[in-house]
Amino acid sequence: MTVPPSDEELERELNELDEMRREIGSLPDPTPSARADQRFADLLHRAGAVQTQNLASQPDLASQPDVASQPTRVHLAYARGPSPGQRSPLYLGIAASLLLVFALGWYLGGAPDRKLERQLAATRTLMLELMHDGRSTTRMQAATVSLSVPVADPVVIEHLGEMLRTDENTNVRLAALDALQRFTESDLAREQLLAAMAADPPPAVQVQLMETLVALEDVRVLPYLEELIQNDTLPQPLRDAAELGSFKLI
Amino acid sequence: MEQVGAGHLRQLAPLYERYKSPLLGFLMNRLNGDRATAEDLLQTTFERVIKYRESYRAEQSFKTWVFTVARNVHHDHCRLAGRMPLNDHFELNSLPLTEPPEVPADCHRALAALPDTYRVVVELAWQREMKYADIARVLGTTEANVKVRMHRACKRLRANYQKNQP
Repeated sequence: MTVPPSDEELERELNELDEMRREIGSLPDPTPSARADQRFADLLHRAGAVQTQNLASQPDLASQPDVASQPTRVHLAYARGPSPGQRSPLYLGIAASLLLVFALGWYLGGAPDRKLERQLAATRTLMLELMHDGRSTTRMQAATVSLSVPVADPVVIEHLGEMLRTDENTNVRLAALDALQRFTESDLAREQLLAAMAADPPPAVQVQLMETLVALEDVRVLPYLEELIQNDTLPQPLRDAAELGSFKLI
Repeated sequence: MEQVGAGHLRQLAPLYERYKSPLLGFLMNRLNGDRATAEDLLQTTFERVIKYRESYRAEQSFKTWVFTVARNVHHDHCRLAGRMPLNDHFELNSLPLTEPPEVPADCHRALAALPDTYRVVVELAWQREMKYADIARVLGTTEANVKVRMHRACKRLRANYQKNQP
C-alpha cells in the first residue's frame, strides 16, 4: 500500500513544476527566414490575383438571354437532316476500318520505343518543374521521380547533377546523390559526382560523395580527398573519412 | 480572420506576422528541428488557411484553428514522407560531423527527453498558453485525454528534471 505524499512533498513538487512551467514558457520561438516571408507575400499576391480574376469572370446573369428557351447547338445538329455532300455510312465504315488497320500496324511496330520516349519526356518535364519549386520536400520528389527512369538519360542525369551541386537543402542534395548512384555506369553520372565534389558541398553530402566515388574506385577523387585531409578547419571525422578513402584508393 | 473569410485576403498579413514564429516553433519541434521542412509546412499551413477560409467560424479562436491546420499539415507530411529520415543527424551513418547542440538548461533537457505525444501537450499548454479544451481540438482528441497526457507528462518531466540535477 502506497503512502500518500505529505503537504511538504506536494508543495515541493508544485514549486518544481511551476519553475519548469516558467522556464518552458519563456523559450523563444524561431523567426522564419526572409525567404519564407517572401514566399508568404507571393502566396498572398497570387491568391489576391486569382480572386480578382474570378470576380471579373463571373457571368452577369441578368444580361444573359434565357438559355432554357433556346435550342442548343447539339439540338440543332441533330435537327438538321443529312447534308447533300454527306457520304453514305458504308463508305465511311470502310475508310475508318482501313485507317484503323494502318494505325495499329504503325503503333505496334514502334510501341516500346515510343513508350520509353514518352516516359522520358514526361519525367524530364516533371523533374524540371519539381526541382525549381520553393519547397525542399517537393524538390526531393524531383530526385524520386528519376527512379522510375529505366535508362541513363543524359538530361535526367544533368538535372540530378545540378540539384546535387546547387540545392540549398542538404536533404535534397542527398536525395539527388542517391538517385545518381543508379547511373554510376554512365560516364556522365561520374562527371556529375566529381563536379559536385569540386563544388564544396556541405559535410554530410561530402561524406556520401566520397564513399560513392571511393566505392567506384574512381581515382580522380584523390586530389579532392588530399585537399580535405590538409584542411585543418574541417571537422575531424570528415578528414578521417577522406584519409580512409584515400588509403583505399592508393 | 472574419474579414479574410469575407474575401479581404490582405488582412491575413497581420495574422501571419503574429503567428509565424509560434507556428514555426511548433512545426520544428515536431520535425526534430528540421527548419527547412518546417518552413515548407508553415507555407502549406497558410495556403490551407486561404483555401479553407470560408470554413472558419467566428466563434472559434483563430489560434486554435490555425494550430489545428498546422497539425494536420504535419500529419499529412509524415504520411507522405513515411519513415524517410529528413534530418542530417539521421543521415550521417553515425559519423558525428556537426558539433553536438548546445546543452540546454535542465528543464529544457527534461522536456526534450519526453515522447512527442506528451511534449506536444506541455508545449501547447505552457509555451502557447492554450486551454485543455483548445489543445484537445488541435490534437483531435478529448479534453480528458489531454488531462491524462498532461498528468503523465508532468510526472515524467519531474523525474527527468531530478535525474539531471547534480
